[in-house]
Amino acid sequence: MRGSLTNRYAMRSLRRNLRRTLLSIIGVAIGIAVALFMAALMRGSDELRVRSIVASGFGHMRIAHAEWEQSRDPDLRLENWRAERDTALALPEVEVAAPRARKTALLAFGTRVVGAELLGVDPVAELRFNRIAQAVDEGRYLEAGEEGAVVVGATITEHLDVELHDDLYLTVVGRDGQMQYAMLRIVGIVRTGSREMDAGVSHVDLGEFMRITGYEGAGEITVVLEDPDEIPEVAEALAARLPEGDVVLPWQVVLPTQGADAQNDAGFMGMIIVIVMLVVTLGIASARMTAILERKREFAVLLALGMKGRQVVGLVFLESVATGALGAALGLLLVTPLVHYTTTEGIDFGALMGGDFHIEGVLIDPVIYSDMGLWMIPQALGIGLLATFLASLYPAWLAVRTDPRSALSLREG
Amino acid sequence: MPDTLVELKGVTKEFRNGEIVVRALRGIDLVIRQGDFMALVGPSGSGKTTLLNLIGGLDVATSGTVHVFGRNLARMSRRERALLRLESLGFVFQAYNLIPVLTARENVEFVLELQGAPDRRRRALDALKEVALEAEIDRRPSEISGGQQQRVAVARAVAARPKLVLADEPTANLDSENAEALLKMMRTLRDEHGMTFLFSTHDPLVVSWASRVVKLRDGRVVSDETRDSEKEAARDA
Repeated sequence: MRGSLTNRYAMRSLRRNLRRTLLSIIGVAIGIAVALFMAALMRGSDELRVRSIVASGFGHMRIAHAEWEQSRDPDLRLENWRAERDTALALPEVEVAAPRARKTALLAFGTRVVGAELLGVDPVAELRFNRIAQAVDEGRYLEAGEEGAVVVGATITEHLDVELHDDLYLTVVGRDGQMQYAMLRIVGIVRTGSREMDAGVSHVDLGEFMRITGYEGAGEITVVLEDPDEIPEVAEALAARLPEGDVVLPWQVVLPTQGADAQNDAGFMGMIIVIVMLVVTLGIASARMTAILERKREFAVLLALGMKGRQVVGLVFLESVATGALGAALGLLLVTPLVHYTTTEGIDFGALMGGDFHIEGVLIDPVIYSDMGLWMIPQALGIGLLATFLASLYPAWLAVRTDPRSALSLREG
Repeated sequence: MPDTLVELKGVTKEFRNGEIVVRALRGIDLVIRQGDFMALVGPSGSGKTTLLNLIGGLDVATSGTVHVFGRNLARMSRRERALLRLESLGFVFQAYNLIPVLTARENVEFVLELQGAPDRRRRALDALKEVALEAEIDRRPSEISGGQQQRVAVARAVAARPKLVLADEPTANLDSENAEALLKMMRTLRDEHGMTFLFSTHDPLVVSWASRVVKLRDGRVVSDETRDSEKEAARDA
């Protein structure tokens, strides 16, 4: 619609029944506030999930042997792991590239034995991102190239009844199929807050791992990015630089349960947002329809005077856009303090999780923080305008279909 | 004829309500020429408003042809008829039908804006001056009298200088003083700008001001009387 007079007409029409207009705006605002709060929580939860996955040692993506995704075989090796690590580190988006190797092993002390997954690591790289490596409660973490040393979880020490600086007897099946043995001194004990997680921690230096098991090289390289939003681009760029036979797997593939959970959460939240907005849209549509029906004669006059159908539609939509924009602004005002509170203070789901804060080997923080940001403004406007646009479709059609003959005397003369 | 604005030939209009067919117009032949100040009179149900609807392109005839400015309305789309109304026709309604949230000036200017006309504000003010409402330009319809509202409606109808103004019972809600003043203004507009006015009316006052009176009865033209110019001149004096 062109011209400021049309705009003025639309704005004044909204003021005609101020109470109804205000109710519509409040309806839009509440819907937007609910939708934004849920979106902020969902974004925060997603961010937390990725952060937890990274901090639990999985990184944003993994360089692995092409067969690993199918077989999940820890004995598969990257042929040129050093070169692949350097290739990853050469990408500006990559913050850490941590080579790793895994093997199921037995740890024994005296007559006590526990099973564990022995993890060969680059201690310097792990300490930069791995929350488990950073959670050494007694002693210290491994040093680069350190021999005869192991860092274990507190649950293992409890089962074996050992302390810091005790020597553990490690038994593992070597590459040649023969049993290999080693004595490893406990240099650090990890307490993550999850007993189950602590039961699976047994880290040795990658060089020591190779010596004990006879397996050369790393089985995987965990890659951590500065910005998680760049996962698809970096994965593609990195994959193009890898030799044939090795692949880049994003965390959703490495941890399929987490990936599916993320998708389900997004779908569920999206569904709730759609339901909320649908209810709001129907409410506004009802109010808009009443407003249009009250002005049927006015629209008949406008059409009789020669106003085109699209101009009538434009007028109706202009009024709706104003309602949507004002509702979006009010919705933002309403929700911002709440989102700010949950962004700074968080919501503690600790009681609901029953003290078990790990899923699929990922340490989950029980406190979820919302994600507050400028994204809320376009989202609020988008939802507000979309809802009011949809709510105006039928009223606009009604307005256009008004019979202009009714502008003349209703009585047949 | 070159000064013919509207020509109706054998026009009929039927309305159906279930099985019942109402014949509102039964073979109307009528020519409206430029400068006519014409009153359509007749009892209720005689077809006056239906005829206005057809000439204004708000409805289409069941049979016969309606030519407005040489164009056959039956062959025009709804959109084309809307454009014709916007650009070449003015409407004055019985119930004024001003937009309540706009001031007098804005009501007039709004139609000019729909047309995309230039210099809208000045033209709206000029039109309001012609109906002696320059003092009320910033008042809304609810803040002025019925007579003043109808004058705003006339200003709205003539601001774009249409060739033909269709007025449906324009004096029906006015006292005789306001009605007389309104008719005088419309006559002046006709004389000064060469506009043509067509009224549907029951009001004897309107009939007395008309230069031509067409009587309808049961959907037919029963008389078509043209007043001589001397009579008109005497009334003006």
